[in-house]
Amino acid sequence: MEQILREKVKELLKQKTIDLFIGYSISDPDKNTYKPFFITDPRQVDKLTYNSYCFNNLALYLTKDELKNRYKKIGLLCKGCDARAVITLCQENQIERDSVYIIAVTCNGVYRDNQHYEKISKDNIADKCPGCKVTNPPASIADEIIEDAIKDDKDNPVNMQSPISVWWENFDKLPNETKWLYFKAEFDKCIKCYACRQVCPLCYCTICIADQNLPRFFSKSSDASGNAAWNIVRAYHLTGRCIGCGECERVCPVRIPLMKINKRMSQAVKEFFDYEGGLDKEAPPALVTFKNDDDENLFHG
Amino acid sequence: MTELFKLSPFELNAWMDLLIAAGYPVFAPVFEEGTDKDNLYFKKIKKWNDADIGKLKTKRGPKELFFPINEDLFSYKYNGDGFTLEDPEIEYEPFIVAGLRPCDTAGLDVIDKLFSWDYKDEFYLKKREKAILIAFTCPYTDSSCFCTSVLGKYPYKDGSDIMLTQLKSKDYIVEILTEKGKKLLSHLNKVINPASKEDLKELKKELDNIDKSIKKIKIDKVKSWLENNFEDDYWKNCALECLSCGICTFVCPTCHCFDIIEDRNLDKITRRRTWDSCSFTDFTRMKVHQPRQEHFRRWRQRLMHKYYYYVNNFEVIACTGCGRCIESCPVGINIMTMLSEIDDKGKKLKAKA
Amino acid sequence: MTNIYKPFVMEIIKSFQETPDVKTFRLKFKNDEIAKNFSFKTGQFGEYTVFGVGETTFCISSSAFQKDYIECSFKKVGEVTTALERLDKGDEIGFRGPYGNWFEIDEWAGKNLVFVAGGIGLAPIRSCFLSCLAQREKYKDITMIYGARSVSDLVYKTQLNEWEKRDDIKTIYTVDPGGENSSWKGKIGFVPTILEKADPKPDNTVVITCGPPIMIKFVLKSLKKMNFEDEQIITTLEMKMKCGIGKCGRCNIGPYYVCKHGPVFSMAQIKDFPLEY
Repeated sequence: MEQILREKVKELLKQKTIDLFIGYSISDPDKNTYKPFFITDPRQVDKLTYNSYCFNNLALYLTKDELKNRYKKIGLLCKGCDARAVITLCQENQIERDSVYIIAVTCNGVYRDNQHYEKISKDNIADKCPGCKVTNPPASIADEIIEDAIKDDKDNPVNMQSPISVWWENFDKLPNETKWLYFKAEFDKCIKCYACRQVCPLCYCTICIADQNLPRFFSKSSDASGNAAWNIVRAYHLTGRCIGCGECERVCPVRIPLMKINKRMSQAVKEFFDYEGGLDKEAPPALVTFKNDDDENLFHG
Repeated sequence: MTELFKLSPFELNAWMDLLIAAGYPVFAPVFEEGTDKDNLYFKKIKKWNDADIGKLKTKRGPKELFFPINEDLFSYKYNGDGFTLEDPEIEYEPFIVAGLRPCDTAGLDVIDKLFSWDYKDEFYLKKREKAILIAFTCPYTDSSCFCTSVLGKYPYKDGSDIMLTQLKSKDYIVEILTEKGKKLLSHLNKVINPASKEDLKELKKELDNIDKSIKKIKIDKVKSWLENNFEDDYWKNCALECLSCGICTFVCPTCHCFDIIEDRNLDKITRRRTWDSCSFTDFTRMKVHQPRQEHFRRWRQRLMHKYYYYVNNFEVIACTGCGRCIESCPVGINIMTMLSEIDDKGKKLKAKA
Repeated sequence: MTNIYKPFVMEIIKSFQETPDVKTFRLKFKNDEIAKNFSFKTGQFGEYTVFGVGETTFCISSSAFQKDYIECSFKKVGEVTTALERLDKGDEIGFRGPYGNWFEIDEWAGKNLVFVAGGIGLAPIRSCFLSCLAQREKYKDITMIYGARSVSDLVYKTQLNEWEKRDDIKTIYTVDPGGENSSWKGKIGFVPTILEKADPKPDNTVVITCGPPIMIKFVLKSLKKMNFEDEQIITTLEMKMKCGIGKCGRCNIGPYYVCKHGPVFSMAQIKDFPLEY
């Protein structure tokens, strides 16, 4: 699969179909880490690689001005999460579909960390992956599909029940006060490095609400009230949009379980509006669409 | 001054517990509860057993013990007639930080210079004055360590009061480096063995081994290249994948930039400082002008600040080679690779000239 | 402890609305002891606190020889200046300073001085100008060239008139084309053009300039044309600041901290700066 990918990218760059390709390459062999890799020269394709350690969501680079202004057409390696982000960005008119060339690849789920593993299994798969609907990215978004078809395998760990949903089933039974205390304690740890925002493919505001000072919405210091405000505001901004790539949680240096919040919000949107973000380019986003029969129970908590 | 003694792990344990019992607050690397096993932070411990000295790779280093993420500078109230300002009530008392790596202490030495530059920042300096630093030579190094390339021969000793090295035999060699350190030893109320010649040989062997395990890169031409190539195209291409998050600066033991903000409460308002980062867009944004709008300019600022500007102002590189930024970067940017590239450019430049 | 971040409380004893968005406050320390010991050199700046909102940076715009009070002028642009603008006579603000370096006015003894200012850039220039006027006998010719976008954007209008009446200084005021009104008696044209027409001679002369970056850029071109050397041109720079004392790490241009090595620089120094300001 890697070989096919390299050939394809080489071809695309040679024929100038794309000016830049964003994929993955190895970062530190000792630590088994992989990083986003920018490639403009077809001779470099041998460094391209793809496996279950390639965590980054590459779609986030599509909205960066530095790249948009420099390269007319960007090729992008898309696993399911990345494809969903691209779809959402198209839905929200942030990118022109034609300015991107998408090579979609199958993803069997990614590992939870960088230890050496043989094969993805229920013991080493990242928490965000089980329950994934886009192991094969939606064909509608792809210019090219490199398939490593996943059969309907009951043992495939992405088909497991999501551990985050299981966690919520129990947690939702607790009184609100207890739930709040749990998340408050988690938010307290926040140091406001804003890595969650920067790594999120859907956090593309040119001036974030956290950076505004006229008026200032919450304090810049990482104190308790400001932290909770920041994390809750971000959760709300992502409600119905979050595509579940889990990058925010992965990069958080203090390990706030952001995906627990995001998944729960997505679940609520699913329940109320029967909508999931980033699956259909033509679908109107749930929270900017008003329908007469929208369920008002949403507002009663 | 250097005095060398030998302690068994058991004696070390007893000594530390005695120090805690004597009333010293002791901070040491502790695992953050409920998170993965690699989340080590300096926290106050109740007994030495709580400390984890297996790897000593703390996520954020000891900087925050002296320069906290949030620190109150003063508070004020309106009393009907005017404003009254109050200093924060802090009692500065001696405390111990144990389980530092040599690069951790080097980081503190770097920011000492800034906080005592001209205007003395007593919030920081008072804590520094009271702190007693017990460093351990590295029990673990990995591919992101490059301290010897920046700090010179392993281990960097200048910043520590006491330095411990564990030998193969599991015993520790204790090097007393300052008067402050010596005072601590007196708490161990028993006769301790001076290190024998044999021990010293072992010590040297151990230190050489650590030294060998650390990656070496050349950085001596870095500054001269930086000085002359502010406008080079390299900057525009070097860190395209960077996301402008603040992680590298927040985990860095020498990054010291901060913002000053008001924390408003009903009864009083507190002016405090809070960590800030040159990779944030609002770091230099004024209402009408932003000199570092493009993201490469912010990246360049960080590297320039560390390897050129700081060296110009304080004669020390604002980097200790601890590798934290490499480890934490969400997109795998490696400062070691960049430094090597820049050094190569510097060499070529010199060759041309 | 000495708390370098804690301001002194000052009272606004007078307030002037210079233009619709520029205000000047005359400030006096609440504590007499501090007032007695306070002094500054012209060109230095301070950190001004609006209690409850935050701190902002600008220069002291009054004469260094004025011991009874200090004055500051600011334009309403950001979070703090917007709040500051709402204050008035009798209100209290916080002040830290003076910080930074200064205009070496004593070294200019025996020279001709040309002041070139645009818009709110007159504020630091005024401090320098007034300080020089306080020891007028030390200098030879003094010229003030000041321009603004429009008549209503001219600051310190009362003082401009006073200066105009003096016969020991030369004043040239101008507004940008289109900014004049029916009663305007000064010149019409951009500052650099007016400067070239005034044609000051470079011999034994120091030029002190401050204004918007675009004005400075063209003023420099004009001065070059008139054969001024970089060493003769002095200006004061602006960068975002928080601490004002070289700690918080944001106001550097290359290795130079504007708050410590500046804000006053000669053009000869600035020429070597990386272009990031």
